[in-house]
Parts: sequence; structure tokens; C-alpha cells
Amino acid sequence: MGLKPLTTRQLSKNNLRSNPFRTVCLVMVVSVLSFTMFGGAVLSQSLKNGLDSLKNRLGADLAVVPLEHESQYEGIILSGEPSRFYFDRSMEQQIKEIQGVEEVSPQLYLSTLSAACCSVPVQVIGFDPDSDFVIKPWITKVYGRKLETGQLIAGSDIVINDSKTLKFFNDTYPVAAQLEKTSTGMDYSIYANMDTMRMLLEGAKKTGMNLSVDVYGTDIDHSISTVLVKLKKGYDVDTVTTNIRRQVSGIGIVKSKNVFLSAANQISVLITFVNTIAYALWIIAVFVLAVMFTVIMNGRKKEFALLRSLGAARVKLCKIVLTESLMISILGGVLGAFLASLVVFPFSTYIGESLHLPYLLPDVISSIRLLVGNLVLAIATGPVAAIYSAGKVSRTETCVLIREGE
Amino acid sequence: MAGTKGFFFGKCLTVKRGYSVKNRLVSGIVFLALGLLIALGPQTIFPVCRITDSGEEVTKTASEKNKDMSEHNMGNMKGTTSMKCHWTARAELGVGLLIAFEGFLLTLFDSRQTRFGLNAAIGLSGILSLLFPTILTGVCGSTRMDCRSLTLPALVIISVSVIVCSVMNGINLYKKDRIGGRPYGPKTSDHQAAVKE
Amino acid sequence: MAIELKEVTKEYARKNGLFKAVNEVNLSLDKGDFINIIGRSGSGKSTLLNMVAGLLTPTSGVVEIDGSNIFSMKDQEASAFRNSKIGYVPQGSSALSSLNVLDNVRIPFHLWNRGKNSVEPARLRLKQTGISHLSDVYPKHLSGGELKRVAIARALINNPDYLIADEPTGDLDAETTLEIMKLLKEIAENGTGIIMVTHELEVLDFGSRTFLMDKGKLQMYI
Repeated sequence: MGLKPLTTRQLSKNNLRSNPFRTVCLVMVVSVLSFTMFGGAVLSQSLKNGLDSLKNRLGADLAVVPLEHESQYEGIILSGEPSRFYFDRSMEQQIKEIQGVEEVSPQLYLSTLSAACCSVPVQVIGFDPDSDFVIKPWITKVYGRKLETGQLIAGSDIVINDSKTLKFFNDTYPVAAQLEKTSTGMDYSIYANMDTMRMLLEGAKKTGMNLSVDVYGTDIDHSISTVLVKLKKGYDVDTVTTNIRRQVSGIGIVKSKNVFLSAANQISVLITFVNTIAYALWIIAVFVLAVMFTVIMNGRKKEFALLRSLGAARVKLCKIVLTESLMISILGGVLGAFLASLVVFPFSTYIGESLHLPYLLPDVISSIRLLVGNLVLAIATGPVAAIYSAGKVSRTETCVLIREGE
Repeated sequence: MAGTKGFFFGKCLTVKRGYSVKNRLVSGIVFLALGLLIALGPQTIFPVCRITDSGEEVTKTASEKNKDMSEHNMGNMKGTTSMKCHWTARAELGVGLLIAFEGFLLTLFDSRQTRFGLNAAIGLSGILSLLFPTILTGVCGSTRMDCRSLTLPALVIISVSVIVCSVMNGINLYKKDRIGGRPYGPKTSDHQAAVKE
Repeated sequence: MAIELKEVTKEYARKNGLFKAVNEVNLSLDKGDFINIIGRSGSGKSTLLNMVAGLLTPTSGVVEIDGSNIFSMKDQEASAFRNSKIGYVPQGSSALSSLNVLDNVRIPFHLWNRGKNSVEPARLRLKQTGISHLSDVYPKHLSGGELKRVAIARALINNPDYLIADEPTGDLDAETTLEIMKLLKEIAENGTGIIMVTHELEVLDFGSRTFLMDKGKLQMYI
């Protein structure tokens, strides 16, 4: 080390090294800032992604469900919480004939455990490939062919064994494809056509499971769980809702718009909160660092006076102060962002679950973009905070420095 | 940034003055803490899925919202006595306590050879604690279960920290050994006294 | 070639009007000269010294170093000029605690770009000041006399034409004082002009001329 030229960087580094406690304190301030900013940015972006994904997921304008099962339907859509509810198949035809309805498609819900050890219940969603307009666009993304009877499509978070099968009630079903991650209930659902649903039910009966389709007093041929509705162009959601309510009784109606809006509201509140904290913290960090630098530089007046008396230009003193602050914020910025990465990426599923909101991590490139942006901001904090003391140090008359330093 | 990195590692693990005492304490306590986290974390801070008294496996989501369904379907689970994550937590309790104890021993011994050996044992235990939740035993099947979304990443991060720390500590000990155990950097006060005379 | 002070005055504003810390001082220092300045505290010695060193701008008058007026230069230029022409030995202990002795001595070399090899000149100056064996030691382990030697070695590293020393033997015991003074005399004999401010009358014999500073006025002593 003794042989390296004593550049500004070397002088700054030595100085930081010789005061480990002070350096660690300054680094901590920046790293807390960097942690919050990067963590907050990833959180906000994930919520925004989740919201976009939810918007795409909703597909239908209205969902007609049995009376008082509206919130369970929302649970399936938002987080894949397994539920079952049924009404008579004839609803489909009744709703189709109502004014303003363009298309309808029935879905049948089952909730069951897959046979693998220690699984949570999953939602199995049966759909009618002929009338479906909601699920198919998602499936075509990952599976080009027609879904055969007996095949399943699994959401992205369903854990599938190596042979690409899932086992239900002693029967093994091949998984044709797995959907992309959407951060909605779709990730925890399994999709099948109606014939496959029938196979599942028969399997359940054979193993002695009493699925409540029977409890309802009817069988699969006459039961559906929900009717998804697409409106004709020019028709208003509320008008059609009123039309349906007037003509069909014993039903609840979930407006996709409302599901989306309520999630959007919660997310916007959360994002505002996170952003406010990040900005407030930035201002506080700049202020705290500015105060700390001023105090530190006051204590180092003698050192600067000495350098000046040895022939250092004012600019050089400025550079030393700014270089030190830059080193501190680089250390703190990288450390904070690294720690934030250790939280937001590995624990993303847990965070999403805890928030009960659609939560979809940004892809690698967006993450890197967020990282770089936040590092630049965090790293700028040090020099921005040090500008005042750097200017002050370099402006002061040297003899005053010498005298005060004594 | 290489220099700055060196600076940080320098502060963390190569304690320049009074190497043996300070470094011994710092490295030992770091491993002790990480070991305890591995041992007790899966039971407390980042718990694995819960098990009821009857031996039935119930998760938070399943137990509350789908009681009837669980009853219906539990027959499905006959033959499986307990969840994977439960056994992983048990195994980690053992490995974690081992790491903690090895860390404790690290604070006691002065001999560089002994410390090197202990450090290697800690590194290997760290690999073991990484393997339990990932390969040897694993965690439960569903991504939304706590053991997979919380316990697994926590254990992986802590285990990797143990391995990384032990590698850095090992490199350090090896370096010191090669230069004959003489501390480098600024002169120690003993050396200084000798110079002045 | 010399340092020339012509009618140099420095005024400070005080409650009851202007106060002349240095009042129309004329002085000339040639290379190889060794000038002592004595005087009471507050007589203006340090102010004068700071102006000679180019650190403090006089209210009026001219300070010329080798024919150039340092106060008409821009800061960058003036700093570089001071850095190469003048060696400054400040009062008290002045080593940077974060650097060892060798690096402390190397500082002035690297304040302006002079290429990379500062180790050889630094070692040469350490040898000259008799502290070669301390090159790896940090300042907090040094005695007062050793610190003074470091300051002198540091002041000499750029081969300055002039050396300005502010009480280089303050707080030192008699024996160490003698050693430091011998060293300064030797430096002067090698062709460096020295201005030294001191309180101690017993060291005056080492210089070639002595001035007395009193209430801002400089006059020959004895």
C-alpha cells in the first residue's frame, strides 16, 4: 500500500479506514435509504404488474354466481382460495337470452387435494371449451393444441412431479401445460374440460369421497358454479346487471370492473404509502448526512488547513470531501440494495400472500433497471449531502482554518 | 470497487490489531448467531407448516377456510404420517445447534490449526443445512405454503451466509498461517515499543 | 531569486475600527538565508508568516516569490506554485493520523501531478531528517520531536527553495530542540532559504539574521 501514489481516492480511502465507526454509521444511513428505496420500488412495481395481470385475467365482464357466494368467487379470482358452490345448469340458458348479453360460458368448480404428500387444497376449474372466452387465450399461450379429455392445465404455482402428472383420487392425470405466472388465483388453479371434471368426480366416488355435487342433489350434468358473461357492445355493465337480476332469481353478480377497481384502490394506497416513505427517507437521509458531514468536516478543519498549507488547491479539498462521500454512498447503496434483494426476491411469494393483493415480480431486465435507477439515486445522496460542507471547507481562509484547528 | 470491497472484508474478518482475540470473538459469535437462527428459526421466526395433535397436517389456509372439505378429503392422505417440512425443521434444529456449538468453540480456541479445522466443520455443516430443505428432505409441495415461501428461502439465505462466512474466515486463517501468523497492517504497539528502543 | 516583501500590511476589522496585525513590513529572504523572527504572542508573527507562505492575502503591499506575485494568481496556479516553491512546517503536530510516516511525507508530492515515484524522494528526506526507521509507523506512536522531523521531511520532499517554519521547536525538550535546529541549519546551508518564527531566544544563533516583531512592525533585533 505504501507504494501506491497518494491520489485523492487513496487519501479518502485511508481516512475512511482510519475511522471505522464513523464510516460504518454513515454507510448505515445510506444503506437504510437504499434498502427502502430499492425494496419499495420492487414492491410497487410488483403490485403494478399484479394489477395489470389481474386486468387481463378477468376476461369476462360479469360473473353470475349462486346467491351469497360473490366473495368466494372473488377469492378464487384473486388468490385461488378453493371454494365450491353450485346452481342449476339451466341458468346458463336463461342468462344467455337476456338483453345485452353477447356470450356466456359456464364454469364448474371443485376443490380438492392432489394426492401428493402434504398439499393444500387446490381449485379445479372446469370450463366448456366450446363457449369459453376467458381461459382459452391463456392456454393458447402455453399449449397450442386442443385440450383433450383427461388432460389438465396447471397454474404456475402448482407443483408438478417429474413425470408431469397430477394424482387425484388414485387416478393419474397428465398435465398438458403449465400457465405463466399471473399473480392471481389462476396460479393456484387447475383447469380441465367438463368431461375431465366428470372423470374426477367418478374417481372421487370410487374412493368413497363424498363430493358435495351430490349433496346438492343433482349431478354434474345439471350443475355449474358460475356463468361468465360478456356484454354486447354498447351495453352498460350496470344496465345488464339490472336486467339479469330482474329476470333470474337466487343469483349473485360479480362485476369484474369492481373486482379490479377494489384491488386497484388498495394497490394505489399502498404504492402511495411506499413512495411517500421512500421520498421522505431520501430527504431525511440527505439532511442527516449533510449535518453529519458538516460536523465531521468541522472536526477535520485542521487536516484541511494542513493540506492547504502544503499546497493543495481549494478544488482538491472539495474533491477529497466529495470522494469520501461518494465512497460512503457507493458502499451503503450497494449494501442496502443487496440486502433488499435478499428480502424482496426470495420472499416474494410470502410478501404477495401477506398483502392479499396480486403481486407479480418484475422480470430480470426491469429488476436491473430498477436496481440501477435506485443505486444512482442512493449513490447521489452522499455527494449531494456533502456539497455544502465541501464548499465550506474549500472557501474558508486557510489561516482561519489553521487557527481554529489549533 | 475492489479496494472498497477489501476494505469491508477487512473490517469484518481481518481485524488488524489484536487479531486473535477480536477475530475469535467476532467470527465465533457470527456463527453462533447464524447457527441458532438455523436451529430455532423454523420453529419461531419463519415457521414451517403447523401440525395438529392428532397428526393431521393442516395449514393455515386449509384449516380455517376449508374445514369441511379437509374432513372430506383427509382420507386421501392416509399413510403419510407427517409433512416434509416438519422433518426438515427437525433436521435443521440439529444442524443449527451443531453450527452454533462449533461457533462457540471457535471463540474458545486460539490455535490457528484448531480454528481452521473448526471453521471447515462449520462450512460443511452449512452445506448440510442448505441440503436439508432443498434436496435431502425438502419442503411441502405447494408454493403458497409458509414452509416453501418463507422457511425455505430463509434457510437457504442463512445457510449460504454460513458457507460464505466460513470460506472467508478460512481464507483469512490460511493467509495468516502462511505469513507465519504475523499480523500485518499498522504496527502493533508491541512492535512499536521495540522500534522505539 | 528571493522572497521580497514590500510594504506588506494586513488589517483586521475589530469592534473599535481597523486593527493592523502587520504594518508595512519590508523583508527580503535569499536562498540559503536563515531568518529568525521573534516577538510576543499577538505581535503579528503568524500573520506575517501566513502571508509569506501565500496562505493569507495582504490588505496592501506586495509579496514576490522569485519575481512572481502569488496573490495575483488563480487558486490552482498559486497552490501549485506554493506546493513546489515553499515548504511549510506548521505549529504543533501536523501529521495525518490515517497515514503512516512515509505516506505523510509523500503528501505534498502527490497534491500535484509529479509522476508516480514518490517513495525514493520520501525515503531520502526521511534519511536526511534521521527517521528512516520510522517509515511504517503511524503518527500516534510518535514523540513530539519525531513528529517535527516528519513535518520537516514533508516540507522538503518537493525540493522547495524556501522553508517556512512556525515555532518548529515549541514544546520540545532542550536536547531535541538542539537536534532540530542543527537539522534546519544544515538545510539552510544546502541552499534553502528559511524563515523561522520562534519564542526561544537560545536558538537564535543558528540563524543568520534575527528580526523582532512588535505591534505589527518588523525591525532588526540587536
